[in-house]
Amino acid sequence: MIFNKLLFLVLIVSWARVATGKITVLTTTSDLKSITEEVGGTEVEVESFCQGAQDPHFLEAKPSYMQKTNHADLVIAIGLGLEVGWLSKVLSGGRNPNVMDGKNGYLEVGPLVQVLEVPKGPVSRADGDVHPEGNPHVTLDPIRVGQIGEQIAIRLSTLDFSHAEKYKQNAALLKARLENKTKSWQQRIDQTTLKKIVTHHKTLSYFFDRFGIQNVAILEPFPGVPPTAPHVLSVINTSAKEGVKLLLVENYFDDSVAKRVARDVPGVRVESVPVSVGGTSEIKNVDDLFENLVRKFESGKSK
Amino acid sequence: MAQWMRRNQLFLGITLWSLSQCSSLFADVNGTGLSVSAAVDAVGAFKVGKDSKAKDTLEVREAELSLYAPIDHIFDGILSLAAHRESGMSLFELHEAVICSTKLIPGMSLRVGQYFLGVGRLNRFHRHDWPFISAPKVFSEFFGEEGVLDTGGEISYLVPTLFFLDITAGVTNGWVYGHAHNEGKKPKTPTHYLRMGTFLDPSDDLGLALGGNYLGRISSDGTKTQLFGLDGVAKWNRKSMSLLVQGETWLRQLEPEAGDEDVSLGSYLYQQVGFSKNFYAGFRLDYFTVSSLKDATGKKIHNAEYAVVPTVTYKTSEFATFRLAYSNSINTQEYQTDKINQSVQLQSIFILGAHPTHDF
Repeated sequence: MIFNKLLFLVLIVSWARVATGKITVLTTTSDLKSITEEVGGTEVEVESFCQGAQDPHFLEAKPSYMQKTNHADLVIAIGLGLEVGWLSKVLSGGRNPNVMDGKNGYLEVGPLVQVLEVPKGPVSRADGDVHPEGNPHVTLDPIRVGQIGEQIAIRLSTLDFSHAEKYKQNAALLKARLENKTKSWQQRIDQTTLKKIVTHHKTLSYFFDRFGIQNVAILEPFPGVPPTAPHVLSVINTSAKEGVKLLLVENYFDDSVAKRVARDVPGVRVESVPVSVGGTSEIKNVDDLFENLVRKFESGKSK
Repeated sequence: MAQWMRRNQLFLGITLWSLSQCSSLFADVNGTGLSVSAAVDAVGAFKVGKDSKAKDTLEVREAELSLYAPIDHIFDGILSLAAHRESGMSLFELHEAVICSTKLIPGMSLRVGQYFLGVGRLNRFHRHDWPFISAPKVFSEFFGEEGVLDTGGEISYLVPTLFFLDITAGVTNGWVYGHAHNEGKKPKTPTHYLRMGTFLDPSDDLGLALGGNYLGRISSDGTKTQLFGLDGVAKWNRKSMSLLVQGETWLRQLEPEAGDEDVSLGSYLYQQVGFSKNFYAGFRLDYFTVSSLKDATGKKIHNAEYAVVPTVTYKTSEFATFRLAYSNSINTQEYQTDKINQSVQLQSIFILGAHPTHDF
């Protein structure tokens, strides 16, 4: 009797999945979810493993992710080592051969755009959690987001050729809109005259590179290593010397160390910023994400 | 003994040869997916009080060398060799030698070879990945200090339901059970086991994994061993703060062909708070009893062993860990004086090279 009930449940679940007729996409980050939803429109159902206020470097390989992976048609990851600590376990635990690395159901978008901060020469763990393939936070540049949208459209078309034109158009619209907005965001940031920033981690490198901002100091002594007292002192000195007026802390980090720096550097403003879609409830898509970052510059502009 | 040492020297030779090949061919390693890692686990136990059983030494408990890579487009392979400190020497022995796949049949994974059996919580993890230094009493009694490994086959199926439900079943030789340096004897029934695991995901920051386990075997002398267990782990993470609650409860029934049944029960519960990514403080409670213990008249003798093990952990990164623990165990038995065993334990773990991602 119990077996019959279980079998019925399995059949209902299987039927429900077939009935939707949509491409089931899992993304590793909420930024990728937002991009995929826009490109895929009504033809896709998208879920993200990492939520906006979580650090994608250190996610747990939850069995619930494996269960979702088991049913997915496409897994989209950043790559470049961002998910190295958990994604391989999720993929193998999902036991879905269609979304394994190398299959059409698996896409890494990071290596498909121009990557910044690729280490020159050998790296080791003595340098901290350095990504040998380069900085993985590629979705923090609106121009690269447009390029990523195009790559997602190509992969969705491979899986669902009947809507290929729709995916292509949606990606083109996303790209054009972000290119236009980037011009406006550039003007607004230039007006603030804030060009030297301190951050907790090198998360915003692509944003800074796009808008001509210098990341003059990082609170982490090495990538992935929490701040130490001697290093914080050096950040205080650098901030004072460089005339830093804004200290941005990615909102999945504690901002107490940043506030400690602000106490010793006159005129520095500390802002805890979401760096992913969904990082706060107001950040509903990539446009909101960049708009919010620009506003942080405007609210902290030098006087 | 001499033969055993020769065998270990052979293992060591193979390992060193493998590593030398890896380093000389390092440019090619990226093309094969081969990853090499070493984990070194040094432990010291020091007496507190005159009745303490601690050895007052610091020694390398285990040095494990692991190679893992895709074998081809279907199968992966894992080889790990571990040197243990035994009889004053560190001798290498085969830990794991497994061919495995998650790509052969959708929803199913399988592994064949020598491996740690996929039951419980601690037995599925290498000792250097445990959140505390020493094995709880229930684990060391039922699985040995390090866990039960054997040669056989195991399949695991992810049931296609709306919630996570994983069923693992395996059969291994069962000639020996636990840590052994002999061939053992052919059992009447080989070691066989079953685990059903599920997972609750109430929020993005919180997860709870639960498992129900069975393990059985009938040894060559006809002793039937049955283990029934529950395991659970809950993790909560937000920013740099974390909480871990982990525990297992096991019941063991030993039924010899002649003589009385032996029934034992034990549990441990470990709670840990992470104040940052560097500092963790935990507290383990252990309980163990032989519930079938009787005197000459057949009257039950109440007995229990309790332990409290506060543990502090400092990590400079996920690759370097230092621990300090204080263990206080009390063994009580009717009609006997309580036995108290106290010790201070130290541990350092470092990991070189790649390190595979961990299960939840």
